[in-house]
Amino acid sequence: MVTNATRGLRRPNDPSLLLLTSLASGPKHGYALLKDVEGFAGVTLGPGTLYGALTRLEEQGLIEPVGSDERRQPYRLTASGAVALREVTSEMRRLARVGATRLRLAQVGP
Amino acid sequence: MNRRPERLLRWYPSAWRARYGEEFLALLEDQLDGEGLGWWPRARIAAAGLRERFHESGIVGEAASSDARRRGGSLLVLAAWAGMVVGGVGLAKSAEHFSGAMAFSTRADAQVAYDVAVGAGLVGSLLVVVAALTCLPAFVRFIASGGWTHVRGAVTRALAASALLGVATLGLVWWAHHLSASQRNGGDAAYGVAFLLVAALGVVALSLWTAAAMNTVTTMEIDSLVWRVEGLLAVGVAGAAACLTASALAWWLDVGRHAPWFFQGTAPKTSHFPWSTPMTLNVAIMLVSLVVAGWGVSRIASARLALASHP
Repeated sequence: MVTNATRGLRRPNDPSLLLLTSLASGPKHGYALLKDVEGFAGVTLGPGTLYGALTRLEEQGLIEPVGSDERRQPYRLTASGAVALREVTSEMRRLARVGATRLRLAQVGP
Repeated sequence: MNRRPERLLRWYPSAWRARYGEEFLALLEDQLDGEGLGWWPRARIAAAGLRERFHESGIVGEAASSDARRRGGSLLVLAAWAGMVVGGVGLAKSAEHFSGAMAFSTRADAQVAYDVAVGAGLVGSLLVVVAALTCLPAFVRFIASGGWTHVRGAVTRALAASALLGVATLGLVWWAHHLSASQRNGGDAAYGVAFLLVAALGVVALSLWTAAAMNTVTTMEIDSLVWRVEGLLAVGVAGAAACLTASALAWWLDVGRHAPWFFQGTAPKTSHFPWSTPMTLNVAIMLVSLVVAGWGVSRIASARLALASHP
């Protein structure tokens, strides 16, 4: 199901989706997010792209800053962010399952 | 070039800088670790900053409210109309004395096309003036509440360019009075260069006024009803832009069919090739402006969708 929150999060390499996935394991600040995304997805986000995505996610209420006096501001998932990430990943899982099933059928077909 | 990362924040809107500026600089420090920032990462940050400005003014973005979409769409149409003015003035210059180059029996269609282009230009400009007057009460409130400090720089630059344009135009007119008609129309290379420089200055002045208007409108508080009216007027301006472009193309085609030598500046029936570099430039400017206006109209139209998701 595509809702307002999950609209635009349908590509696996979408920066917003990568950030939500990274924040699912706990709060992180900008540099930690870049390193984490690079580690699990092999995608190097630029600082402009990172902060563009953070701005949109915060506007949509999917992430929020964790109270901090540091210049390096950590962010965490909100409840809506967790719901949106769950929706998108389950949709991706369903598509992956359909793709895999059809590939298997094609291999045993005529 | 100044390579301090703080300078890059200038590409971002002030509200964004206030909210994210410090942490963004902290991220750059972590990433750079004392190294310099190359031109490509700088260009990408500049592009991200401009994208953020577009988001702020409602020109792009799905999260924008209906008012922000109408504002962004109207501003795009205003910028497009500035392009139409440049293309339209170019058309008027290219079409000077065209009826004299055509036989009486063949000039009717070209004359109608040209008159429609002029009419569309006048209607579009009138709608822009009405749109500006509609914003006037909000502008007066904005200035009264100390808004002048926010727009002083942009307005001063536009005024300075206009003053320079006025002086340059007076000088050009004085010079033209000392030249013959053939010297004014390509015979005197120095005058030709001066004419082009004054035209370029005109484009700069128009661009600065458009930028000042866009900057002011983005900063002002304008209520929803006014944005609805502005949106409707912007759709009208975009319609005038489409009409102006279509009639300019029709005029070029018709003159090219019946009097192609007009575009070469040669004697009748000495050329059959209707190519004209100035007209190509004019039409290209109009077509690009039309695309921008179309984008603006689509943003205004999408305000209805935003209303459904942001009641």
